[in-house]
Amino acid sequence: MKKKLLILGVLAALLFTGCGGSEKETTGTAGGADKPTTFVMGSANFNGDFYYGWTNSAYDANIRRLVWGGGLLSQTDKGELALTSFVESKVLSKSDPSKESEDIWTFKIKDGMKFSNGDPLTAKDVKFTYDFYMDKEALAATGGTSSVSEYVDRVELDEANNTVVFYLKRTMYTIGSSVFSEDQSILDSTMILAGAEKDGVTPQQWVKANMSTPVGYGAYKIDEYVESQYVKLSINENYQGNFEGDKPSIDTLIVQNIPEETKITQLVTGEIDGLANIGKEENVDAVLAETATLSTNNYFRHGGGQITFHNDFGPAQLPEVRKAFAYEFDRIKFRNIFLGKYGISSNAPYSRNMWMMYEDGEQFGTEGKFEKSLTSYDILDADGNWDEEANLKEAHKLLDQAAAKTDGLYAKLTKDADGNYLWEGKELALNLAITSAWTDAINLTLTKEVQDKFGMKINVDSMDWSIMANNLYGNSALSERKYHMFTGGTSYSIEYDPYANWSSTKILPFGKGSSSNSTRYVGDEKLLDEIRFSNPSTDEGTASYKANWRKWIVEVNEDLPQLPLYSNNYYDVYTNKVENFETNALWTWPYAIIKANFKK
Amino acid sequence: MEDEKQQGKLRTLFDTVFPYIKYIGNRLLHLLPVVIIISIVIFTLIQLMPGDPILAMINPETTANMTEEQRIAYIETMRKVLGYDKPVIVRYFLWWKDVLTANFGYSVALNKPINEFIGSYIMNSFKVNIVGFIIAFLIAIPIGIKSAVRKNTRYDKIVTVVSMIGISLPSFFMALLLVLLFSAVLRILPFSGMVDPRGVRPEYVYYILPVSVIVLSSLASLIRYIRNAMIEVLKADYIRTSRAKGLAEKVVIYRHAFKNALIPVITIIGFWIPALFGGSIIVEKIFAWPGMGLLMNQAYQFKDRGVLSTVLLFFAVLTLFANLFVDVGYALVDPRIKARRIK
Repeated sequence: MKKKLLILGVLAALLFTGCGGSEKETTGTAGGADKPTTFVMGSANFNGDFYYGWTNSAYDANIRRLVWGGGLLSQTDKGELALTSFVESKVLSKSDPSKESEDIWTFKIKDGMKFSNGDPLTAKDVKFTYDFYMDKEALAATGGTSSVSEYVDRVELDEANNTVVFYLKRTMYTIGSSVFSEDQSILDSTMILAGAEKDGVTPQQWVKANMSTPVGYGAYKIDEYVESQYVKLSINENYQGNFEGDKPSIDTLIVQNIPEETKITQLVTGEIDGLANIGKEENVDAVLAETATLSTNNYFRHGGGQITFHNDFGPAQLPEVRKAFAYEFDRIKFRNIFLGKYGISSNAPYSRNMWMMYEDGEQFGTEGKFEKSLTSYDILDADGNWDEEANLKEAHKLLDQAAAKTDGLYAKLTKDADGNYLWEGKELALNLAITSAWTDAINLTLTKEVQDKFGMKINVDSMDWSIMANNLYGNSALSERKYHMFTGGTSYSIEYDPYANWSSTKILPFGKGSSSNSTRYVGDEKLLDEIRFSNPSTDEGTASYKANWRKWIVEVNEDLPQLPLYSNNYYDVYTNKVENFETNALWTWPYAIIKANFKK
Repeated sequence: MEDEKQQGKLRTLFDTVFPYIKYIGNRLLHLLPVVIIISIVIFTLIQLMPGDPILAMINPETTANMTEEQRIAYIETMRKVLGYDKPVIVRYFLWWKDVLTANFGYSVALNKPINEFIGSYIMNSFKVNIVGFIIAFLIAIPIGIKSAVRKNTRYDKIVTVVSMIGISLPSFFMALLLVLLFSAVLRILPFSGMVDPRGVRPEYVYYILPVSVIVLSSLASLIRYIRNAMIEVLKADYIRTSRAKGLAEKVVIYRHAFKNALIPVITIIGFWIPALFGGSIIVEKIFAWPGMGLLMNQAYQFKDRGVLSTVLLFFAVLTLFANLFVDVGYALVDPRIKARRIK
């Protein structure tokens, strides 16, 4: 008995001495005046691909933002682009005034700049970076990708003046974000070239092999990376400050992989100090109840989920059918099941963080005049609830109009004597491909009862993402084409070029390859060009961009090639021991943490 | 004289061990064709999986600004880089070549060669699963034996009821329950992870919860198996004879009864260990524990064919080794089997 007690005693002692369960050790450590501070940010798992060009993980991108924070241009808290702190000036000129398309952008780098490891940061590094990403063959051989060479013709270096000159193929409105922003973070050529030479490989191969230990010039530098566990960062003493000159004050930043199942409990109990993008009702309510220990920032997501129609296939080719489906689909009910109460639905591909949505004086994040002018595909009753009868009436009106037409494709849509809608003589049906996460919300929204009332059958198939992707992108691996609609999500960049995903030049014949215009929608191509080629450097160009973008939104709102379902109302939550941690949809936590500090 | 004694000892040791080595060697040779057949099945099934691995890997937004010709060229380059441009048969042999040179191919989800990370995932799985199972086994032996010896007493009934509860509780529920109690309420153990980034807690405390879940989820069934096996053995004539000879009860139970009761238990262990690795997906997910279960889950979700082939081959080899373990275990505990197989 004594023996057993002794063993139990030793085990208990080991457990309690090892666990160290005091609050000081498990929550954000503010410490005293001189004590170093640590902030632990919860994250989903990252791949460890911390250089741009290889990964598709948003969580890796957060680490990149901490390590670099931008390219030659970096964004502000309002989603605008400003010179990054190591850049002295940017000059715009033309080599040949008769050539409208060839702009020259010249960047002068400040003297005496350094990377976090002490290597000099000069125009030479800028030139190296662009050559690195424009060497598509070497990049592709390592599985990397970059679109820089689509925009840039050549880059010249003026080493004596610490200046680099970009000859652009054509001025585009989004050139700043596409070519000079965070995706083209400047690489440390001294380190990479030395490493590549030592290992006898190309710079691209060396970067690929050292993907988890990048060196940048951002607010933080990586001290330690443990795969699937965490990234530990400390302040970069060579950091020049963000667009406002702010420098970080939190000494150590830990970005930790946290399981989805326990993330809210870990935050509430103080095991971690912050979590971003909390959107599900049960999670939001749980953190909002903890006002004594947690602070929150609230905003609408810069993106959302949608149903993408294949606008070149079956009944989905007719805008009346697409719109009738939109009236059939109770988006409010769907949102409530999928997210709870924290979300909205837009009526075209826009978010409430886009400046183009607002007139002067209107409040960002609210429903402005322009948004109100668009057609909503949810008809509500006097109490603000989805009005089934009114939506039904509108859907039938649209289908009747289409059935009455006999020209072209419309001849395929008919209505029989019993009032049933038919496509090519058979029951009107749309096939919807979804991934498993959507199953419950979709099935509970598109019930058989609703389908029967609306007279349009919706066949829902749940599948893996990669299978759905093959169908959505029209890949050749498919034996037959079956689906008219697909569920998915979109995040917008800070500057939006609809051409990239909506131009008809992006559509390949179905089954012949992979189309990046996944809606396969052919709209007003001239309008897309006008949006794309607006000049960002002039007021006229900016005004033209806004006006044409609005025209395009009106067009897609009317034609409905895609039905937006939801945009989350996100909460970023953090310990209230920290202040000045002001995130928004465009100013995500890796940027905002620079200004944050532990309260004294 | 001393040398002769030493040599005699060595010869005896050799005579004892060599038949086992020979037996294991023979069994391994017999396993080779099985491994090849399994590898063909795994490879064929993986190839039949729907979806294009290259498209799954490429984020459409990152290639959105390419012209379609460049996009197709890029996809084709990736196909070549990853070897998907070759015929299936060629890919099978290339896969074997890779496996034999410990180069397991490329993960399209993690975008890196599999041999860069597979070792750490295997080790992480071993750390929790094997440690958990050994602890469960060591606890289950005395409890199961005592329960059998005291059959139908209050002790036995309590153990039976607790075992049934343990068998009924799913491991994810048990994991969340332990997290709630020890991490959220008592705050004495970390929620998840393998190591403290702040360096405050020692590494071993991170093992306590995942290992506990493995122990608790294995324990109940093991106790039941040991108890039932012991009850059967205790009915045997030779046990009655042993007792009649006046042997001490401990000797009867542990030397005579338990050794024979081990035969069905070894069978269970043999099947259990591979199942334990496969079944630890949930535990590894809840505790952010990067083991083979979690890797298999991720690989399946992303249709990461290279990783999936490697993980399935690992499970297949583990199962075959578990069978070998069962065979050797039988020979060790049962002289009749030893006499037949170990010559």
